[in-house]
Amino acid sequence: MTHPSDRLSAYVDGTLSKGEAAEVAAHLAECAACRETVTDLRAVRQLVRAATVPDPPPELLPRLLRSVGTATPRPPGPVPWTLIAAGFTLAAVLLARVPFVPAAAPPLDELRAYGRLAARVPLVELGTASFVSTAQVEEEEAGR
Amino acid sequence: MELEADALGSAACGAADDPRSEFARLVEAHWRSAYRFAYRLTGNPEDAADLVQQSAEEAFRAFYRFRRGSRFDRWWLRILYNSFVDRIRQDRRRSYFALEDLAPSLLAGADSDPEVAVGQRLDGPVQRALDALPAEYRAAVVLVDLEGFSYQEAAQLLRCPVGTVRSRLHRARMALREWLRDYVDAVKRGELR
Repeated sequence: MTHPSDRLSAYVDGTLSKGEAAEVAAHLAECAACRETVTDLRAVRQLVRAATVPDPPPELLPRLLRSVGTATPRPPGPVPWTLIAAGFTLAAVLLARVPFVPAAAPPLDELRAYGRLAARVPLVELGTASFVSTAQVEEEEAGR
Repeated sequence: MELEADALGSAACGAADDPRSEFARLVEAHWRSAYRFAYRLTGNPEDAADLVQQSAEEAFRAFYRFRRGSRFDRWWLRILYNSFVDRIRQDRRRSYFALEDLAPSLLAGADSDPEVAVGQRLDGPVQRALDALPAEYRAAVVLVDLEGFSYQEAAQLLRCPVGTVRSRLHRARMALREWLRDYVDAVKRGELR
């Protein structure tokens, strides 16, 4: 016999579908252990509900309202539109300038060689490695 | 006279549109339930007040995202819960453990005999038992049993499937049943209400 496990809590809360609730009810009719569990679960729920929380400290509300007075809201107002407009302007300027910007990036081969080297060198030695990298890269290229 | 009426009208509109006064009004209406939820989650008044304060500040910063006409208390509680989860994550010692790993010894003082339990305030033992639950289990119990959330609403706030809420709730109650055994029996005998 399979016990309904977590469906028992849902049964107590009345959140099962009609079909499921009927299945659980049929099971309960035959299973004393699950009937006992259901009674216990009801008692647990009652205990939890009965436990009260102390009143909040009265100084909390003024504290909350003060923080609202000093906090900065992030309004959705005109700010994003100005930002978007600024973004478009910047993009337009950059696009217009691109053909005139000289390529400053090193050749791809050099980057790859440095990558291979860096992968073999422990982090602590990277400082030194960056000094000797050119020489080593040249050796490696020559040895290939 | 007409001018005066107009001035009053626009002043009233201005007050209604000002997010600060609108937010302050909503906080005033719901701070008690926020505190109650925070107290249930943290188990003590100091952390509860801090959590309410922190979540109110976060809620105010995000207030422009609040959909007017939806329930502010639910929205605030979600922010509060997220702040709480962040705190738990920062405290690694309390963040990852299974329900089964918890020893009932965590509940020192909750195992008094039923004779003592009769007529006694339950807040202490029950809150201690709730505190001993992993946070996400405790949250499910607090939301459904104390705040009256439906499983769907709790799932939405906890950002998990409804089935997860159901199983966490059940496992949490089964643990509470063992830890509060004497009280449960007293309730069943009708000695505790």
